[in-house]
Amino acid sequence: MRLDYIEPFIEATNCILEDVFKMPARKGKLTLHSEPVTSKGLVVVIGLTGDVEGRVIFDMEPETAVKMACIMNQSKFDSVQPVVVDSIAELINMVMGKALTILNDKGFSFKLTPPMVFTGNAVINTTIRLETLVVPFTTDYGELLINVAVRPVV
Amino acid sequence: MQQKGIRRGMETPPQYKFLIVDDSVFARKNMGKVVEMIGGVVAGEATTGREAIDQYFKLKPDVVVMDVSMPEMEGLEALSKIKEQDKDARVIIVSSLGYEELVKKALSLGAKHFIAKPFQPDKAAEIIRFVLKEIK
Repeated sequence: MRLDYIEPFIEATNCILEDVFKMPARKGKLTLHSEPVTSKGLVVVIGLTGDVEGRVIFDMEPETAVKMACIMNQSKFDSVQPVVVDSIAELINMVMGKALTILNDKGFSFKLTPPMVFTGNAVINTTIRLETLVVPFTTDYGELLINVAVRPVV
Repeated sequence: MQQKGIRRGMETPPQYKFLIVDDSVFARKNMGKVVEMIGGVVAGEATTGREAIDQYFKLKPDVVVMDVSMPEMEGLEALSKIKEQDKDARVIIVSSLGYEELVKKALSLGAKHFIAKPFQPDKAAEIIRFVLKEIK
């Protein structure tokens, strides 16, 4: 998998987490996986179209999502409720927007599909069969996994 | 006798009306806080570009603050359609997509400014105040 496609997602995640939560996120070791993926409990799936096809999955435990949404909204939530889902979707939108900005400025042309949020420990099986790169980020609120699978359109 | 809201020699600043357009509740709430910070009022909200056009001509806000990526109709298409019918419309584009080509396109379609997400509330407020200056 081309690293120049992947690095912007890592850079964008780091940047947005730091911007929104005012704390650095610690990036763990990158690993290669094959689909299907088992969710930690709350996943956001965004598809990519344009010069590449593929998808990016952001995966976290529901508790992590709730803690992040509490900070973002400066409110107290006890469970994954619509406002939590909406806040996490917007957080991921910001990450993807930043990544796309970096990629577009490098001359790649990408478009995003709207984020889809799923809850539960389901197995995620997207239609595009690709090898995926998983990047873990450790935050003060829990772990966030980014699962990137992209390939150039020929 | 002193009238409510008016002190001798000093008028209450006008309360500008805003239309906030974003498909995210969180993002609308966040921008709403910025609007309140500058003493404005959120006259309406919309979640798609199509709704934004309807709300714009119904509410006639002083400023529209609009996201780019939305279902049904994207922000730039809505901006273009609003400007076609009202060349004086003041629209500020807010987006997590900040690449040069998109920013240039937004400005060429008539956007007054571009705010990149995530934004610091005081920075966003500064941009909105700058856009409001042209009303005075």
